[in-house]
Amino acid sequence: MPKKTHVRNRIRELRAEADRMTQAELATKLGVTRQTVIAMEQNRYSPSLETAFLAARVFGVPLEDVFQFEYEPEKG
Amino acid sequence: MGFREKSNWIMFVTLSLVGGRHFGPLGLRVINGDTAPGDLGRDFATLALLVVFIAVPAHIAVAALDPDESDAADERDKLIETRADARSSYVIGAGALWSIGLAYYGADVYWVANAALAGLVIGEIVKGLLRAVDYRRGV
Repeated sequence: MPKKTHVRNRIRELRAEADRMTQAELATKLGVTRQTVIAMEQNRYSPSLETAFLAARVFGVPLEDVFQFEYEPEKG
Repeated sequence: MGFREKSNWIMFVTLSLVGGRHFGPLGLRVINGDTAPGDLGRDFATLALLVVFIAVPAHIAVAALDPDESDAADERDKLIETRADARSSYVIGAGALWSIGLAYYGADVYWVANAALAGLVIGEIVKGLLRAVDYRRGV
């Protein structure tokens, strides 16, 4: 069963809005492999801060528009 | 599946097959009480050559099937590598302790060397398995 991270992202939507940028094109701009872009889109990998900021710059939006932290601490 | 994940599977399968071929009969000999030392040089050379003769052509075939796929490691590959290294190091350490124990109790150098090699090979197999899980499950 895939291990989901607490970091969600809108990379797939933002790629579609950016003239249907392909996963390979984004991977080249971020300096990662296409498999890493796929893993990020499926929330199976949280990128480094550097890659996260770079992704925001590539899409021309603030970091929070690309990544969201969805963590619910256990009550009690 | 990227080149590095495919490469990991090649090494995992290769080491499992070659390691099983080498250590399986040795284990049976020990169980049957046969501890006569074998030819260390011939056994180790055979094992190393089998790994090379299986793994190298397999890597070349994988690269030829998808020549555009980069073999460079990115941050995710490095994280997966580091996690697998850290966890499999316990197996390699156990193999080292086992071989030290055999040496302490006066075992032949053939068995001491094989215990150390078993630790390395099993450690690499465990590392490959952990990497494969992390690549599929996520990190």
